[in-house]
Amino acid sequence: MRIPIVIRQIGLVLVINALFLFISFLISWINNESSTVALLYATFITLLFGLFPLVFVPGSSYLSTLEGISIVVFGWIATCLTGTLPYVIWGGEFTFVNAWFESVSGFTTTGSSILADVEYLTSGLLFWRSSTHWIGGVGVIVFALLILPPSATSHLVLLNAEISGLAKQNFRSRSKQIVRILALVYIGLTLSETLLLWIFGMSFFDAINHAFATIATGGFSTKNLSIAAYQSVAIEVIIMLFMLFSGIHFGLIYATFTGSKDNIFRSPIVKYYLLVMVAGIFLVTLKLYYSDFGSLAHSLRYAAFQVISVGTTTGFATIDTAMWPFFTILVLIYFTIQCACVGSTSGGLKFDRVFIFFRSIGRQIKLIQHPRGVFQTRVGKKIVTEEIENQTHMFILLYLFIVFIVTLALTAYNIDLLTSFSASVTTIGNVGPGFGGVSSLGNFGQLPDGAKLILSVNMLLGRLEIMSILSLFFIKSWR
Amino acid sequence: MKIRLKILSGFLLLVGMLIIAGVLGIVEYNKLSKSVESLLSDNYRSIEASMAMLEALEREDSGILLFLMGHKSEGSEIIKSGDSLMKVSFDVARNNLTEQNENIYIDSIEKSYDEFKNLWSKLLVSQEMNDQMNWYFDQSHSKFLETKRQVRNLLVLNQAVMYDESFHLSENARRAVMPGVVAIVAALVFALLFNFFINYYFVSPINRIIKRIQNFTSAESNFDAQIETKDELRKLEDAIRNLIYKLKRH
Repeated sequence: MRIPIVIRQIGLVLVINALFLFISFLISWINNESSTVALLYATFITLLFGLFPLVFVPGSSYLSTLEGISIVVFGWIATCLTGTLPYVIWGGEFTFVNAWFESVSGFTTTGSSILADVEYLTSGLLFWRSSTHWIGGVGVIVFALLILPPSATSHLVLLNAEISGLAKQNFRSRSKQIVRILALVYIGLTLSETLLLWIFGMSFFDAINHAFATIATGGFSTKNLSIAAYQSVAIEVIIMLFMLFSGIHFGLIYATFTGSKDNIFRSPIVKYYLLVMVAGIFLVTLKLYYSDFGSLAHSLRYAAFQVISVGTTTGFATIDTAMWPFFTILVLIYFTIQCACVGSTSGGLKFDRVFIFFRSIGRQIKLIQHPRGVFQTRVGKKIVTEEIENQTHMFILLYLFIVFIVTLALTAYNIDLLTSFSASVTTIGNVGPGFGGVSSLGNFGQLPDGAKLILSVNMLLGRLEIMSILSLFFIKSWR
Repeated sequence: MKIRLKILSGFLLLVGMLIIAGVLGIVEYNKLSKSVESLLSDNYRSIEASMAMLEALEREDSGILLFLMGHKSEGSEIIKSGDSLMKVSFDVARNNLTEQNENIYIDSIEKSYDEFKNLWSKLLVSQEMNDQMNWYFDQSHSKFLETKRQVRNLLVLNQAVMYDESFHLSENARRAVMPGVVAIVAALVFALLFNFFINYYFVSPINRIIKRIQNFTSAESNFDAQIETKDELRKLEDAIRNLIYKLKRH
C-alpha cells in the first residue's frame, strides 16, 4: 500500500472540510460571535493538513482496493477529528470527548447530541454542525468526488469502498455518472427544501440548516425543541416529505425526474418500504389515540412525523417519545433497526436487506416443502444472487451482534437496559434519538465518556457498513 | 516542485501555524485582560460604592438613635459623617452606569435617601420632639430600611453581572489557551508527517540510488532507482543512467 497516496486523498477531503469551516467562520465573523477565532483557526489547521500532502505527494491515477478502503476509513476518522476542532477551541459544553461525539454524530448523520442547550451555540457553529451532516450525507469521500475530479479508476475504487454493492445495483451508470447523479439529486433536494421551508415561515438560516439535516437524514436542529419549536403543520409536512425522499435510492429519484423506466413507482423496494411505513404510522396512531393522547388528527400528526423521522434515520422530533406507550416505542425501535433504502443518505441495516432477508425465508420454506424444486429469491423481476443473499444474511447477523456487544458494554457503565439498547441501535443505525435517557428531546451528554466513545465507534461502523472497517484489521489476508 | 521549495513549504506551514496560534492567543488574551479591566471598573466599583452606601446608612441610623437617646452632639456628628460618605459613594455609583436599567436603581436610591435625609434633617433642627421612639420606628427606621433595600438591589445587580462575567472570563481564558494547545498537537502530528514525507521522498530515494550504484559497480546489474517524484532526484537518477549508458558504450 502506498501510504503517501492515501494521505494525499485524505488531504483532498480535508480541503472540502476547510471550505465549509471557512463559510462557518464568515457567518460567525459577520455576526461578531465568540466562535469567530475558533472557526478561523480550525479552518487554517484543516487547510494546512489538507494542502500539505498535495504539495508533497504526486497524484496517481490508479488506486488499489486496500488503498481505497484505507482512504475511506482513515478519511472518515481524519474528517471527524478536524470536525472537533471548532468545538474544542470554542468550549462551552464541549470537552474533547463531547466534541468528538458531536463531530462523529454530525458526519455519520446520526444526529445524536451531547448538547443540553443547542440555542447557546453561535450561528457559525450551528452552521458548521449542520454542514457536517451535509458533507457526511453522501459519504465524505463521495462528497469530495462530487467536487474534485480524480481519474476514472480512482472514482471506481473509492465508490466501491464507500458505497455498498447493493446500493450500486440501482445505479445503471458508470462511476463518474453515479457521482453526477448523486450531486444533482443531493443539491436539488437541498435547494428545494430550503426554499419551501423559507416560504413557509422559517428564517433563511434555519431553513438551510434544517435542509442540510433533512436531506442528509441527520437530525441536528438549530432549536432545543427540534421541529416542535416551530409548531407549524406546513413545516412538518415539508420535512416529512423530504425525509421520505432522502430515504429512497437517489438513482430511482433521478430516474423518476428524468422519465426513465426504472423509477420510484416501479420499484418493488420503494413500494414495500412505503407500505411498511404506512403500517407503522397506522399502528402508532391507533395506539396513541386509544391511549388518550389526543384527537385522531393529533395522534396521526405526531405518529406520522416520528415514524418517518426514525424510519428514514433522520431523528428530528415534534414530541418527546419517551412518554409514549411501550407498544409505540417498540414499533419505533423496529424502524430504528430497519432504516431506509440503500443508495439513499440514510444509515443502518437498510430496508433492502430486510426485504431480501424475508424473501429468502420464503424461499427456504418453499425448499422445505419441495426439496427437489429450484427456487430463486427475487426483488421484483430481478434475481438476487446467492452471493448477495449470503452477504445480506451475514451483514444482518453481524449488525445485530454488534448491537448486542455495544448494549452489553453500555450496561457495564450501569446505564439502564432501555437506554443502553436504544442508544446502541440508534447509533449504529445513524438514527439519532433513542429511548429512556436518550429520548427524542433528551441528549447523550449525561453518559460517561467511555460510553460516548463506544457509541461514536458504533456510529462509524454503521455509516461505513461495518465490513470496510473490519477488513482493515485483517492485515494478513490482504497479502 | 523543487526539493528546496517542498522543504521550505513544510517549514513555512509549520511556522505559519505557530504564528497564527500565537496571534490568536494574543488576541484572546487581550480580550481577557479587557474583560478583567471592565469587570473591575464596571461592576466592582459599583459593588464597592454600594457597600459604602450601606455602611453610611447604618452610621446614620446609629447616629439618629444616639441623638434620640440624648447624645445629641455625638449623634449629629455621626449622622453628618454618614451623610458625607453616602454622598461620595452615591456619586461614584451614579457616574458608573454600566448595566442596563442601572439608572433606574440609582434614581430609586436617590429618591428614597432624599426622603430619609429629609426626616433626620428635621430631627437635627428641632431640639425637642414628642413621642420620639414612635417617630423612629414609624418613619425614620422604615425609610432607612427602604433605602437600604434599594442600595442592596444595586449591589445584587452588579454582583449578578460580575458572576456572569466571571463565567465568560473562564470561557475566554480557555479560548486563549486552546489555539496554543491545538497548535502543539497539530505541530507534533505535522512534524511526524513532514518527517515521513522527507524520509519517503528524499532519504529513501537517495539510499536507493546509492544501493543501485553499488549493485551496478559490483555486479553490473541494470540501474533503476524507481524515483516517483519529478524533482532534482529524478534528474539525478537520469544523469546517473546517462553516465552509466555512456560508460557502457565506451
